[in-house]
Amino acid sequence: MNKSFLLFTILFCFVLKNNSSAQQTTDFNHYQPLQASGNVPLDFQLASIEKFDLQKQQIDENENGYYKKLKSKFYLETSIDITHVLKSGRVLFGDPISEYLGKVLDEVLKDDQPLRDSLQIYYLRSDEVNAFTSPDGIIFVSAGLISQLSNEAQLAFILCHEIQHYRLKHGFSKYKRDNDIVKGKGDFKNLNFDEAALNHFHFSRELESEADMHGLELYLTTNYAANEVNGVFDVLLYSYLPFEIDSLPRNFFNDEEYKMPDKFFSNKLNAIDAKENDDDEKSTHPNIYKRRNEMANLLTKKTSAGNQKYILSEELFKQIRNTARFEVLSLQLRNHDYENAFYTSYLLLKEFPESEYLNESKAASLYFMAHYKVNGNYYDIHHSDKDAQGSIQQIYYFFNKIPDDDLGILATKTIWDAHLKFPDNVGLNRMSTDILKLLDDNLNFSTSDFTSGVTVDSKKETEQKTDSTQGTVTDKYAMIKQSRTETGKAGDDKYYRFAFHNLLSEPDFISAFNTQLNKEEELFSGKTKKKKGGLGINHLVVANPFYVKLDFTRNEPTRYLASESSEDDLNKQIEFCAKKIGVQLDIVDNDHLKEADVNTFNNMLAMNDWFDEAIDQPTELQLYNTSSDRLKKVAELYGTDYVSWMGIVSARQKANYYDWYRLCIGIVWLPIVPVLIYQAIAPNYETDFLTLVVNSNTGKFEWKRVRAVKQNDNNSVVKSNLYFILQQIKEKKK
Amino acid sequence: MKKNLSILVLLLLTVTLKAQVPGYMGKKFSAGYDFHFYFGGIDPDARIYDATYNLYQPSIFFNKFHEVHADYVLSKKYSVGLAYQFFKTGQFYAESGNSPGYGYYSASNYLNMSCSSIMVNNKFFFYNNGTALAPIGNYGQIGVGVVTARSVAKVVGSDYSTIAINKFVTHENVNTPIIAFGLGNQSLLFDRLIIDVGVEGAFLPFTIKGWAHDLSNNYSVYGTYPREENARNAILTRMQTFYVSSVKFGVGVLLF
Repeated sequence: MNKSFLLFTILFCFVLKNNSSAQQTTDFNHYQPLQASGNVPLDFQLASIEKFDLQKQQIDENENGYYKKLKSKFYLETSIDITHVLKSGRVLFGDPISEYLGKVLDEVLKDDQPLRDSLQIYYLRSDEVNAFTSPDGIIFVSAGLISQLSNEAQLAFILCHEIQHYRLKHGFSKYKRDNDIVKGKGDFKNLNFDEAALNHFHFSRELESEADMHGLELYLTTNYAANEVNGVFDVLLYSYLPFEIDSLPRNFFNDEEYKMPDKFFSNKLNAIDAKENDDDEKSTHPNIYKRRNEMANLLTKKTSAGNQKYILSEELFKQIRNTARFEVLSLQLRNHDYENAFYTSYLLLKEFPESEYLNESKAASLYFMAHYKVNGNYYDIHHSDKDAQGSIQQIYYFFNKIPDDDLGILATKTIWDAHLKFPDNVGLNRMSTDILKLLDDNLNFSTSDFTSGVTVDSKKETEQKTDSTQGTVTDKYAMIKQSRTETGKAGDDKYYRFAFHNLLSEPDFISAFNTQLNKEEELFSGKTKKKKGGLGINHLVVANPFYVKLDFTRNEPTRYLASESSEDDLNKQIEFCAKKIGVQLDIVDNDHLKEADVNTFNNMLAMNDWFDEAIDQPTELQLYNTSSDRLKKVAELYGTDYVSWMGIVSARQKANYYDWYRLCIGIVWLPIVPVLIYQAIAPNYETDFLTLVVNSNTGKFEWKRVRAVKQNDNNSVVKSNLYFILQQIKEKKK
Repeated sequence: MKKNLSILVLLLLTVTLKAQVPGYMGKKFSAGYDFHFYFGGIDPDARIYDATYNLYQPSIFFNKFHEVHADYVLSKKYSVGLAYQFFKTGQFYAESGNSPGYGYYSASNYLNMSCSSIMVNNKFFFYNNGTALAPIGNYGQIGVGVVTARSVAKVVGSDYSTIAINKFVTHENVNTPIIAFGLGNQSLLFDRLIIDVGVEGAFLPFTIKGWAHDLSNNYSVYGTYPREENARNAILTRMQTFYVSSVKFGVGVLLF
């Protein structure tokens, strides 16, 4: 009794704590990307093998041997996959979104506590519209999905659907069916590839329909409004569009002197034309038309007492949705989706015009696009406007049409306007210097190319019509119905001369521009000089080192469990070598998290975010990173300036049976024949050691090395190379 | 000799001071033992003699020799070392002809040889993209040194055996340069124990002279040709056939 009371008290305190966390008001003006908080859940603590051992216990010993084996394989693979997702930094816990999702789930399952207790729900850091459930009862909901929802009831229905996937064990059903199809068992004998694929999709659609059907039954037991189910299908149908439809006004960039010409804007935008009843034969989900109708038919047969769009609160929903939208923006920047990031910041700025984060993000999206365009990498990040629909098409069109000079100037103007407004913002500070370098170095502009004066003609020519929709936030799905075309007129080719008319009177801007012009050696040169010697670093913090073991002699080359076990050894090996060489090294280890290790998790998150953004950037650009500030804080926490990522990829490949030239060598020198036979039979090995070292102050890579060693990854080879790498890092610069 | 040693010590000192030499976890000096062997049937005369000089000709037999060596890692790709090799063997050779004072004779001689060599070994650890880290991994090896054979020659059969025994028993010592080359792989266990496998060959340049002579004289001595020279050629030939190729297995210890 006492024990139960104690447990209840602890749970109660935990719930209270969680409630307080979720109801915190987010400061959107000084927004910071979400982090985890509270205790680290068990899902994040366990290794794949530990999860697998737990799940294996569910296998019935009396079951058929084939199914036992198949289930065991299924649990192993899913444990590995889910652990990978949880520890990748793409999933958060204890953050406002996860907490909110948990509350909606509580509401949905308030009459089925055992089922609620078997489920966990987390926020998935993805701008895609997505939700999915793991076979062990973890529901993931993306920021992209929440950002698109109209109300809490829609979220509740989606959760009802996801719960059914878990409850009805759809994960294993699908796995078993796919296995039967691949192995040609039973009805699936002698299927060709197309037939096999169609069977796979057909079964998947059946499971989705089943989840819809049972999900609706569950939904109808709640107090949420039944008619909101239909809205969910609108969300899914238009999920390829941004969360709001609002055309960028043609005068958006204009001020009293600087007028953006009409020629950069499209006069005809594609109508929004989502196909509701498209061919779903090769789709995992039934088309929206079928799903909508099926639900409508069921609703006519069933009764629902619920009529509420919000049970928790409308205010809370909107706060969480806005949080999700800010998250989408941060994810878009991290994923180099700058055109969409610009549009997202535009949409959010209407509601939060004073937000430092949004102003910084808008400036950052232009900063990145200008650099990519000037350096000829723009098509790496550009979305084609041809097939786009609605207002986002204008964005794609505009940034494709605007020349690199003009985009550079527009970015400079935007960044400096924001920089002068928020002078203490570190990101804007860095961007304001970089962008002037771009203007000077790549575009050969100087202050004399710009004027603060106004010519009557140019002003007249570049007058733009204003957009009446500016400033009004309306529902996306209502706005879709108001699709329209736009017209405009051509502007002045030299319109950009007035871009800095305000800035030319700013001493900081003039000074920075002139300093840039006079610089012989640039601060952020993309060209790296080949340095001799090492880095001279005695202390660095290392993001959880990774180890990937591949074996291409097998059907499934990735050896997950062996990789996981090698990762544990790798940490020890790195620490051992560092100690021997005298390098102080702190490993941020999120593979062995304990309940209280939330800070370690968040530090790893910051490092991963920085890395994910940086690693896909063209190396020669050396651009600002939107997670620089967070990375610097992590480095400061460990008392160093340097952050490192280390990892090993080892591969085993089939032997080269066909190296006939080897036999020729054997004929010339007989004793070598045993060696040649060994080489012909034995597999080939390659072990790649990847090391990146970043100076968190400059945000620049100090070191990017891959040592591709043609040796097996045995202990001595690994240690030998790690020792060498750390020695290089420690050795003084020459 | 002293001069050579001084140069070697100086060289070692210079490269030891070089900062960029990792070795294995900072350890650069190792010592080890290698066992070399290969089929002995390459040379038809490569027979083995027992302790009483009776010919013993097994159907399959191995040439085998032993090596102790010490190596020092000088750079990522290079280590230098000293190796001492030793082996025992025998060589059959025949003599016939007219000898002043004895007339025509024909004798089957044997040599019981005790050989040793000392070599400076250079190991070049190689990989396509320059990622080698001595002392582990694949290596190519070139060594230069001197090989010494201390031999006792004895007639084992002759038409004039008494005369022959009295006159032809001789001791021959041969010192000759040796150039060795090889391919191998060193791996490490428990951070300390070196396992070395490879193939090796060596070339004794002065053997050619003897072969040229033997080819023209077919192991026969006429006139003034000194029989000591004949024995020396046989010794060189035997050593060359011994060294021509071998497979080696070695163990070593990484010391410091």
